[in-house]
Amino acid sequence: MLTAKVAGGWPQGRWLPSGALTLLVSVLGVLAAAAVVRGARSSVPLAGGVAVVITVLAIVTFANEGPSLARKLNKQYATDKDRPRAQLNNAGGAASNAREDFLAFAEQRIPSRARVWLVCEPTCGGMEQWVTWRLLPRPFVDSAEDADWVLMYNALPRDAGLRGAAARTAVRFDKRLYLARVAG
Amino acid sequence: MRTTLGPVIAHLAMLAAGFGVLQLAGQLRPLSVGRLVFAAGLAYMAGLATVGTTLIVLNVAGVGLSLGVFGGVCAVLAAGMLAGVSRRSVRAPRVRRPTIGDLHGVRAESWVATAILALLAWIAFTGARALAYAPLSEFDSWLIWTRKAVLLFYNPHLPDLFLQTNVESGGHWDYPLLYSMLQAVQFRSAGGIVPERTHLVSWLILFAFVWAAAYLVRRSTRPVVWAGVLAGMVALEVPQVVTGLADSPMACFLGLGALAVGLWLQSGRTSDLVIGAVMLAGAAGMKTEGIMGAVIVLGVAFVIELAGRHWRRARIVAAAGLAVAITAILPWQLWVATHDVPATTSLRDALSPAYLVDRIDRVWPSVQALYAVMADLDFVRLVLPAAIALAVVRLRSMPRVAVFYLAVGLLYFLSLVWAYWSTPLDLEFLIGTSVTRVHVGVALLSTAAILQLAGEPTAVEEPPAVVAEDAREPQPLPPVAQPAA
Repeated sequence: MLTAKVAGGWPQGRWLPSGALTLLVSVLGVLAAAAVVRGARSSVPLAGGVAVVITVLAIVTFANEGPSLARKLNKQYATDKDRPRAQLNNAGGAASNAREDFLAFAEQRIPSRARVWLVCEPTCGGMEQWVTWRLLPRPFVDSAEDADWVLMYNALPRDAGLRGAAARTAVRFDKRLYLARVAG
Repeated sequence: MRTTLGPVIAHLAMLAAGFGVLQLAGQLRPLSVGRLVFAAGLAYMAGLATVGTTLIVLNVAGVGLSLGVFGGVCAVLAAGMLAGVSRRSVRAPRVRRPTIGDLHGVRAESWVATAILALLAWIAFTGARALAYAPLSEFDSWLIWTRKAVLLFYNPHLPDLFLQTNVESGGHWDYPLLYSMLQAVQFRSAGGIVPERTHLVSWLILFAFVWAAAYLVRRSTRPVVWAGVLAGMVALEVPQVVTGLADSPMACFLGLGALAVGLWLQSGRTSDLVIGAVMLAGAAGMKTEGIMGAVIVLGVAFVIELAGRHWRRARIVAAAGLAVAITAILPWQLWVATHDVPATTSLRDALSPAYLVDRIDRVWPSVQALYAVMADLDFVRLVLPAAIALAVVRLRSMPRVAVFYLAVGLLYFLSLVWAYWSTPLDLEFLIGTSVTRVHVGVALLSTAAILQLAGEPTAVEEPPAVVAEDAREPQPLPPVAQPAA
């Protein structure tokens, strides 16, 4: 919604005055309500009236939101507590349909200190963020020369520069999913 | 078993360390069991800030993270508290046995405050139980914060191999380390990586904030006010907290830091300034916005003291600022510089007039986006006008504190605009992904303002030792007007 507002190109200089006006009206509204409190009980200073107004509003908000929040948290607990650990751990990649089966396969084969070069064709399109997280603590590098292993995610061995005998060492997991050891 | 018990022990160790810090700062005088219980939230926050900051300083100095180092730091910091607790007066407090007759003297507002606190405690419990199993799905949480925590579980330092490659650049290795360090301590104490439980760090910090803020304003603000305002804050900020991002923990430290410094401006109690500095160190260790917030809070307090010609107090707040910079800002910046970590936003660019003028077209959309989001959020819509209204009506009776909060709030908002203005990241992407969460700093600064400005404007009652210490102040505070405004 916000992005749409900004991208929508609101007339420069028009929006903020209305936003500032809204804030000003809100401040004046609080002061007016505080004045009413003070009028009802003259011993209360204006600052005390503001304190009463904000306290009442906050308590009403809490009374509305608090119990439903507790119920929601209880429901979330009931839903999540029986989910498999793997499902919990892989939730971040689910949004981008990461191939967790392939990543688990790679995790079993690549030593935890080995350097890995990730190859995607034409680009990883953000998948590199999830893959590098998922295979921690393995460091990922920017080129084949620095790598011990090559992980081809939506790529072929030739996209990684692997040809001939080198390409034949690559293990195919699934279509366009390969893993190859290139050093050591 | 260890997965659960280990982190519990680690968090208790940081609580004990925090009590040591409070004792050293003079916040626990006179020491009693009741005071220890009431101060537990502040102690926990102080423990997180000081233990985490110390671990980062040691890490930069070459001492890697380990459970031994963590335990040693906690033990050293907790030593002051243990010495105090060993005194007989604390172990055997004189507590009168309550009777049924006492209930007749309890006012209705106390019952309301008690009911609010009971529901808050229930939410804290149910939330902790639920979040222990909540998947870590928020993008930046695993991309930035927990990624570093996992690396600090496997290694005593962040490995150099990760710092300069393009493929790993999403980790933003220049971002402050405190949040990741606390998560790493949790992993190490659990003996394994349990990503979903990192949520508990920000959850505990939220409720420790509530507890700590209540403790800080206990002498000046009525219980029903602090209980109500803090409960409203919890109800509306929970969606932000459960993301597992660092924005909410940073805002909690920043809000408490501003509150403690505001109390120092009002009462002159040095222990409040010390705690304020500790909290601001925590904010600076969490996020870059926390660094800006710490500079703004202490800078505004410094200017207010200078304007009032309170030279000694100005020197004290300058010393506090220097302490925060030396312990919580410079070590990490030094590490970033010596490891050639590419900066997400170059400070040189951010301060360069030519660079800023060249990108002047980013200012207005940033202001619009930040304000539009804040104006759309229920909690900000609730507290921002109230904080401004309170500051305005307190300009006569609490002028220094009112000006302090108005200036801090405005400058903090402008610092966010400056961050959006100067960063090289695509503005539309940045606004779309971050503006809905950076508001929380403004929200908790507003909460801090309400908690203090809604209280009594007279100077708070001091324990004799502290009064005597502060009585040496040669420059008197401006006269405090009657609360007629």
